[in-house]
Amino acid sequence: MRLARRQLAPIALLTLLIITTAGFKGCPSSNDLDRGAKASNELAHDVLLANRVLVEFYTAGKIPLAAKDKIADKLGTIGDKGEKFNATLIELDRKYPQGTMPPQDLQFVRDNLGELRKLYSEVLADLLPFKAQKAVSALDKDLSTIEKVVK
Amino acid sequence: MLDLHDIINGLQEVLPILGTLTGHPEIGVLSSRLLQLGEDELQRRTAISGLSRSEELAEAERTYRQFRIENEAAKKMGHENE
Repeated sequence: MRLARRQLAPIALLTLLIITTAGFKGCPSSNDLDRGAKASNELAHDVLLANRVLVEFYTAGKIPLAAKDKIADKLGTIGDKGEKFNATLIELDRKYPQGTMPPQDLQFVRDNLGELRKLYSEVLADLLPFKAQKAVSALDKDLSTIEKVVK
Repeated sequence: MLDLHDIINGLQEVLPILGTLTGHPEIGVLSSRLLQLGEDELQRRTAISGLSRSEELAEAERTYRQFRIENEAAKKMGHENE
């Protein structure tokens, strides 16, 4: 029974993360802005999902208040930056309806996504002490996929 | 062939029972809630396949608005009496 108790949360987490990663396929679109938009949407949903997982862990008493506050603040920062990044993509979408951007704008998109990825990796590192290794590993894989989309 | 939804539904029923049996019902509830999040995410991903670029961006915009609401609520949790 002890084994079963220990494995309950990891089983659920693993299943959740298999679902979140299994559904993602490489973007079939052919231009930079399409791929950026896809990545931005994926990131928005990842941040929302991470926030919901955090709330569930805190509600279940698995994460102390101080750690919850710290991670929620970091997620808030990512949300702010991600929202601005998405707004910039909307402007670029209007500016370049054909979807191909000049190199400086493309670099801007890559830099922003790289920064958001770094911030998100910090959040994943914050989750590690709470026995969420499987979650971190799978979410990191998901982010790598997003990063690859923009390359 | 097993359907992923069936597996999730099965696990959602079994995990709370295992949690209760092992004397840790909160873990069973947590596990079940995480699975529900997974189910929701699976449905979302199925629904959004084939979105145009503008639709992707609009979807992201809506998601960030929802995130802001939920993130503010998350930040306030545990500080209700301050």
